Amino acid sequence: MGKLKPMGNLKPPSLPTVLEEAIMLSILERPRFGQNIVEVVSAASDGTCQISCGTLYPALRRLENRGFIRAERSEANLAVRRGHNRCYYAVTDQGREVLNNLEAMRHQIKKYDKAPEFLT
Amino acid sequence: MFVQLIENAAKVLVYEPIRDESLGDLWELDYQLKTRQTPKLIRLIKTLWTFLQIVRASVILLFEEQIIPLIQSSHNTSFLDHDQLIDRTDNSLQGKVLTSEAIAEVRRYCNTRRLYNPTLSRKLLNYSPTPYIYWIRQCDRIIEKCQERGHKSIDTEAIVNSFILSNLLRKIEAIPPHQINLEAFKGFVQDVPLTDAFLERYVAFDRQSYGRQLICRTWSLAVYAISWMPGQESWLHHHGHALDAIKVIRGEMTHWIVSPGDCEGDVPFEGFSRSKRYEGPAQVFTTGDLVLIDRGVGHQISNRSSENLVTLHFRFGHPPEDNHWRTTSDTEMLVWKQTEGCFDLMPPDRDCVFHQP
Repeated sequence: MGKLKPMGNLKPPSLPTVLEEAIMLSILERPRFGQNIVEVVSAASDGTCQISCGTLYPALRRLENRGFIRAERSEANLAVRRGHNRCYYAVTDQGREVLNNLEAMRHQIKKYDKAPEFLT
Repeated sequence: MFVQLIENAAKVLVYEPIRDESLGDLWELDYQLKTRQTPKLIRLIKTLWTFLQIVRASVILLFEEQIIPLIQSSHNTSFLDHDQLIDRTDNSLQGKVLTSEAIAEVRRYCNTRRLYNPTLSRKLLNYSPTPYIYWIRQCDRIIEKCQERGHKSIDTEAIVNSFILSNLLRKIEAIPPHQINLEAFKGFVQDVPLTDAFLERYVAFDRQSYGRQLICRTWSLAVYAISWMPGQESWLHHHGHALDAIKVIRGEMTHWIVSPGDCEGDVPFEGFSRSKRYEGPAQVFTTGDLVLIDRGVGHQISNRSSENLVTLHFRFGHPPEDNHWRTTSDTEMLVWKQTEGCFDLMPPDRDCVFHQP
């Protein structure tokens, strides 16, 4: 069985939660702002995963503090937003690596489950 | 009336770092409901509900980022031996050296200052006395200047990195310019701990050509970041009497060093005119590598990888004059400014216009 790639210096609490992972996946291809992330996650899960603002902003801050995502302010749509900036989030290289490692870990665990009992 | 009520309530109830974006998102959501012709009462209830959620987020973040670290730090400090604390204080007050501990303390202090005034912040952080009082005072001075000029938020990242750059500038300017050679310059710039979060502000890719973004500039030193998309390259040139240090922030840099005898004809001086491409043997540098270019030596940079490349440049001497500079009207830039008898790197005046509602 192939070995998992080491996850740098990350300790288990530093790994993203399911919600954080969903947020990261929603901004993997292109940067999005808070409300847009909520809509994308909701649409992608057919409405089963609804992220409230109360959960979204702390999760974004945690991910940013851990270096998994980065934020950039933009003066888009200021009239509708009553003068408040949009904050666009994008996944960093470190974040991409963590997502790839999580994917690889899932794959390994599934393979492990299918292995004959005498091997385990 | 309702809008004003929410905006005013947010000033008190919403945690400052998320206030701007969360209120913007709230009004954007409200606008979406309006365009879908949602009944006014439902819109009102939904907006209020979202606002309550933002307040909830604020409480969570306040605990996570302010209260819990405060409790932990006061717990740790109480275990410090009194003599050890006095000793630490004396040493640091003598040196005023910007150590990594001082940087961490400045960061913690700025975060606390977002919520409290200087006296309460120092009390909460148990600064009686603090070994880092010199830097805390510098912090207060910058914050005060920014607030006088209309800045509404405390930009921790800008302050921390301005101290790092100020520290570098003071070291360089303490030595007569003619005594700074490549080796001395390397010693100054090789361990400048500018943070990734700060440098990311200066990263901007342009499909047309590589883009250069100025971070700060004084009579002696210019610091700038260059963003290179795959395939983009500078052609062969030299920097005249200037010294250059290039640090790879991310990506892969292909680099050629060319002494005048290595290529046919002269190596041209950098500038607006398109120079020639050099095709001799190259070296490849990756994240964290530092490359030094001596006076009069030609060089050429290229991004021959499939990933974006970001390089940080320290130029001892006149910065390049060409059409690769990005406009700075939409990005942060630190300005070396005289304040109360000394120079500080400050966010520019236009920021106060930028942050006005």
